[in-house]
Amino acid sequence: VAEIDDSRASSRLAGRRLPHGTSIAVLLVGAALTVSLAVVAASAHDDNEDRLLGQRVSEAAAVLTASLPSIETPVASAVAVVEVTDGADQDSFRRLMQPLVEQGGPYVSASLWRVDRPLDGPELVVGTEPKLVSQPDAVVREVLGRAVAADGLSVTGLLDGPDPRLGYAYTTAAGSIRYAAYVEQVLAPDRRSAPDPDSPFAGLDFAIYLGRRAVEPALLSASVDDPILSGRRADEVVPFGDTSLLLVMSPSGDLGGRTMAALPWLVALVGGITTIGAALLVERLLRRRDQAQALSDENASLYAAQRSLLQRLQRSLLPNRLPEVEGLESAATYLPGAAGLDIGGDWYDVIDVDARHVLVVAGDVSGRGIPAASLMATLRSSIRAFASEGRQPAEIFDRLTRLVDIERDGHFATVVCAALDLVTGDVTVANAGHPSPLLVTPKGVSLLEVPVGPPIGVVAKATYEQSAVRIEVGTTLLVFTDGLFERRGETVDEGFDRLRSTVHSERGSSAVGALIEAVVAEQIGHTQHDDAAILGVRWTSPATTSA
Amino acid sequence: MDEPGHDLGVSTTVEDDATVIAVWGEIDLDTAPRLRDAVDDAIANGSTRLVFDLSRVDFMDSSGISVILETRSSGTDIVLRNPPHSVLRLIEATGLTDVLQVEP
Repeated sequence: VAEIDDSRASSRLAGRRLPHGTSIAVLLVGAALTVSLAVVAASAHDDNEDRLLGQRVSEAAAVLTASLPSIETPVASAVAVVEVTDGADQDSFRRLMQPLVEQGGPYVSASLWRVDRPLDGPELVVGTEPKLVSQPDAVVREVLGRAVAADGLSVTGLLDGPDPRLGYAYTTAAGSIRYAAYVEQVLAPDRRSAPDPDSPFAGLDFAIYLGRRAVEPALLSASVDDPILSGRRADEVVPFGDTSLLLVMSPSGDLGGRTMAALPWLVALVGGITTIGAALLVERLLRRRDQAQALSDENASLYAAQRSLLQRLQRSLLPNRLPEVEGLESAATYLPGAAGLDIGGDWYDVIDVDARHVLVVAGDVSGRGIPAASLMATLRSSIRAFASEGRQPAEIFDRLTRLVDIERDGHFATVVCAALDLVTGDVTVANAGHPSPLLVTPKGVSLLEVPVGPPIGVVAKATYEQSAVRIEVGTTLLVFTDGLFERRGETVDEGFDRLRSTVHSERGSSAVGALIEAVVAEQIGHTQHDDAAILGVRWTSPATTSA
Repeated sequence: MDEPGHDLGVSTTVEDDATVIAVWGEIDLDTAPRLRDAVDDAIANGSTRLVFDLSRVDFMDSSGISVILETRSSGTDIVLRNPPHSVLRLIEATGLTDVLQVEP
C-alpha cells in the first residue's frame, strides 16, 4: 500500500511543471515596476544632464565675455595715444603693439588707419600686412565705418579663403583726426581647437560662430569635425563687441558622471534581478506548499491505509463467521471507534461446545493498541479452550483470572459468558465487570442478572458466581460492550437505560440481524467515540438431539 | 477536541501522607488521558497513596475505571473520596465494589 501511495505522490509532485500564476504575476508586476523606475531614473538623468549642460554653456559664455576687455584694452590704449597727438606719436603705437604681434602673441598684424581716408590703406603696420588690405574697398569702408559706429570694439570676420582671420577695430574721438587701430587674429585653417583636458570644459564639445546663426561659413572654432552638434545640445548668444557670438555645446560624455548615467540601467538590472529572484522565491515557496500538500495527502492516505489495516486485523481477531447451529440464529457487528490509529480490545464469540450447548461471549480489554488486541486474542482462545473442556462460565472466569494480571499485562478485561442449553433453554451466566446482557422477547426486555465480579486481571484469584435462568423459544440474548451505549455528557446508567429502551422498541424485529442493525443505527450516531461490539443470539427452536 | 461543557479539571494537593487528586467535570475517553497524566505525575513524585476526590465529577465512564485500576495495579494505595451516585453505580456494575476503597 505504501509503495503504491509513494508512486502516486511522486507522480503528483512531478505533474506540476508549469509555474504558478502567482509567480508570473510577481514577475509581471516586478517587471512593470522596474521599467517604471528605470524610466523615472532615465528621465531624472536626462533633466539633470540638461540642467548641467545649461550651466556649462552659461559659464563658457561668461568666459567668452570676460575675454573681450583683454582684447579691447591694449588696442584702445594704442589708438588713444595716436589720436591724442593727432597722429604724431606713431612710435608709441608701434611700441605698444609690437609685443602683441610677435611670435606667441595673440595677433599676426596690427595696423593704424585714418578713418576719414580708408582707401589710402594703413598709415602704419606692425607685424605682417593685414588681410584687410587685400579686401574690396567696400569691406574696408565697412570695417572702419563700424569701428566709428561701435561703442567700443568692433569685430569683423574675414573668414573666406585659406587664411581665415578675425579682425578687431577700435577708435576713439580723442583728437581732431580720427584713427582706428586694427588687429587681426589668425584662426586655425580647419577652425578646429580642442579644449584643454584640464579645463572645466573638458568633456564638452563646442562650436563658436560669429553672429547669431550656426552656419558653416560663420564658424570660428569647433572641437569636432561636424560642427552642427547633434543630440543633447545647448546654445547661447554672447554679446561680443559690436556683434555676437553663438556658442553651441554638447556633452561628449555624461556631465553628471558615469554613475548617474548608468543609474537607469542599474535600476533596470537590480530591479530585474530582484524581480526574477522574488518570482523564483514565490515559485519555490508555492512548489514547496504543493509538496507539503502532496505529502499531507500522502500521509492522510497512509493513515487511512494503516487504519483500515488495523481494522482488518481487529476483524480477523473476531469470528469471521458465526457458527451455524441448529435452533439458533445469530448476528453480530463490530464498530471501530472514531479514535485514531489504534486497535481496540472489544470482542464477541459464539462457541458451539457441542450439539446441545453453546457459549455466548462478549468482552472488552481495557486500553487500545496491539497489546490490548493480543490480550483479547489470548482471552478469546482461552475461553474456547475452557469451554471445550465443558467448564461453566464461573469456572472459566476463575481460570481466566490466573491468566491475566493488570500489573504484568497493563490491561484488564471485562467479560460476560452465557451458556445456553439448546434443549432446555437454560441460560447460565457469569459476569466479570461487564455490562449486563439483555434478554429480548416479543413481550419485553429484561436484564440477564448475576452478581457481577471484578474484571479479569484486577484481583488475583478472584472467584465468580453464576446464575441460571430458563428462557422461552424465540428469546434473543443480546451481549455487547460499553462502547454501544456510553455517551459523553450522561452517566453510564443513563446510557444503558437508553440502550434498553431502544432495544425495547425494536424487540419485534423478525430477524436478529435486523434487530442489531436497528439498535446500532439508533445508538451509534456521529458521537460514537469508543469501539463497540454487539452480538445477538436467538433460540429459535429446541434441539432434537441430546448430548 | 474538547467541546465546551464537556471538560475535565484536575488539581493535585499533598495532604499528610497522601496525594489528593481532585477531579471535576467529565471523565470519558477524551478526557481520561489528562487524569492519567496527573496520576503519573503524582506517582513520579513518590506518592504511594492516592486519594481521588470525585465529589465534583459529573459523569464518569469505563475510561475512568481504567485509569483507577491501572493506578492501583502500580502498587499505589487508592481511595475514592465522596464519589457521586452515578460513579458508585458504575463501580458496582463493574464488579469493583469489593475491590476499590471508597470513603465518604
